[in-house]
Amino acid sequence: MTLAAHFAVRRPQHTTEIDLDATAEQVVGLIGPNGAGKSTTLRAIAGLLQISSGSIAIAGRDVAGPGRHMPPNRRRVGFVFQDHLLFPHLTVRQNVAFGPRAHGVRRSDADRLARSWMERLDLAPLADRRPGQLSGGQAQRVAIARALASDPQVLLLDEPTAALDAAAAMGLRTLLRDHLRAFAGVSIVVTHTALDAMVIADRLVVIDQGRIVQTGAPAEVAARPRTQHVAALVGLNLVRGTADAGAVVLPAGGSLVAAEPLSGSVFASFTPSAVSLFATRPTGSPRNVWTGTVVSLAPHGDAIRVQIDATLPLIADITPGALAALDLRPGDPIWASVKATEVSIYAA
Amino acid sequence: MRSERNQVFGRAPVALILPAVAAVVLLVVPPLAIAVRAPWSSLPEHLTSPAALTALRLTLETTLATTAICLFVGVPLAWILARVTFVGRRLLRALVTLPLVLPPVVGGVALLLAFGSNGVLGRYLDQAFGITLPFTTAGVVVAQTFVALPFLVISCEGAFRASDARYDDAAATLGASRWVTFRRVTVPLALPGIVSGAVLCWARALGEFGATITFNGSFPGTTRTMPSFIYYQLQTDLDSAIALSLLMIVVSVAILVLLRERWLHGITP
Repeated sequence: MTLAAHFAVRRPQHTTEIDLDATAEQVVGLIGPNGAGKSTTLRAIAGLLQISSGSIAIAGRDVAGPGRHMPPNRRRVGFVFQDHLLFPHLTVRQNVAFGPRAHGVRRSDADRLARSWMERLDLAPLADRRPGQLSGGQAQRVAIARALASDPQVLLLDEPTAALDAAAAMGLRTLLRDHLRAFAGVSIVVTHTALDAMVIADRLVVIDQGRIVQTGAPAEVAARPRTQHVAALVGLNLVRGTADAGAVVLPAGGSLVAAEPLSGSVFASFTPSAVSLFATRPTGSPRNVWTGTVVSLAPHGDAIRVQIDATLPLIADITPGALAALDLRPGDPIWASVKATEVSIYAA
Repeated sequence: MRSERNQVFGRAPVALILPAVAAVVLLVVPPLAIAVRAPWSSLPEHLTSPAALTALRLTLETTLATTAICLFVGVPLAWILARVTFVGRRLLRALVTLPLVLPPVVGGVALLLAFGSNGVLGRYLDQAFGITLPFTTAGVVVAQTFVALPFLVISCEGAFRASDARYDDAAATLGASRWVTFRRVTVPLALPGIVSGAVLCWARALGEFGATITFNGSFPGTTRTMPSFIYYQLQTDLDSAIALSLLMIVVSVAILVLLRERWLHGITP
């Protein structure tokens, strides 16, 4: 089973241009900031909106192209919405049986199919409930069962964990990981958290301003992000500049020295814990030293995460002890440094 | 809350209270007058007289037929106005709601010119099928439909608009065609609005007088519905007219209570 989506959606305010090929072997995670075009991409593949140019093919069937728009009900694309959109007037069983019934399956067969999907997703005890009587996590599980029961060739999930509390989200993540791996079709999950991306997806596709800017294994994307959004998600400092034998000149002024002698246009990233903070200009070996002001302070695990506005925006993780010694408040001037060996650079 | 508001801002101004009281008098006293003047002891006889029963039966039959026809054609029209974009939609909506503001007598004249034996459409109905509508029971249904249909269309269109169209999206991704989606998702979700629209439509048909009498006259058993019958009785048997009016008031109040219940509580999905 394959998906070949090469299309553009043009709107007065924004344009989304997507080149995406996916197979059933890998669960694709679509990641990017709000308004980047993630939902537009899903809706275009599902047929809920018309593409402006290009084409979309599902398992070799052309479903959209020049002068061609196959309506969503004939595309065999399942869709799991962020707020599940279970039909409120139907029971859980009727919701799950809806797809098979719409495809003309006899009621008794549709019910049997629905029951088997409910059992697989541990929903059997909820069969006769209405969506209004379900928790957020249960409702989302029903929505997944409903989408799978209609036997789609492509399954699209639009931020399935976004509306859930932490515990329910974790449960759903594990469930998605297992069921999407076993799913015979192509699956694409729009995610907004690093955790979703790492747990559910085999391949990450990063979208920014309507374009795919990076694809790769989750670990690889997390280690070498190419957008501020992903860097922020995985908690990395990221800058882009021009390197000359490891010395990176930053567009905003100043420079950054890395241990690797790379040249050309590069990304440089380093972890927040690699950043050291000082009240006065530090002396000694660090070559990357900046001065700036503290923007905010927030607990982050066992550490304190400090946001700093310097030549480059920085995040630094320091211990509560260091915070007490520095006596920091938002607005305070601060010196920050990073060792060259802590900076990872890679070609942009 | 209300009493608190009074304490904070002082009494409501007399300039507002007096006109409001006049409005209440105007609205409430006439129906009360009917109840006061009603011939309570002879009420059963008036309501079960053969002429009254005939009118009642005709009214029930025609208004129920009208409501059924309005549902059959009005719900699809409301769906198209709510869910399909096309040039001239606003104009169409305005035309559809015209009978709401049109004087019913004018509606009756218009119906004569359209469906009368020499009318724009009536001519062909007569020639092709031998159907004549004016002065028939079928004509009563046409007149009632003409005035009542807009109530149903407006109510249903509002219900379709208010229910989340994304449920239609969800149904489509599950393989449902627009027709299946309409039957299994859109209509069930808009059902409270459709039901109150149908009740409203029935109530309007029940009270229909002007267009009916213009288009169909007032013949016992075929076109003399309750309003026509009451008007007729008013000239010959006042007590009977009052008794029948009282019945209509009771029905109207029942409709009001029913709709209030729906509007206030809705149907919990």
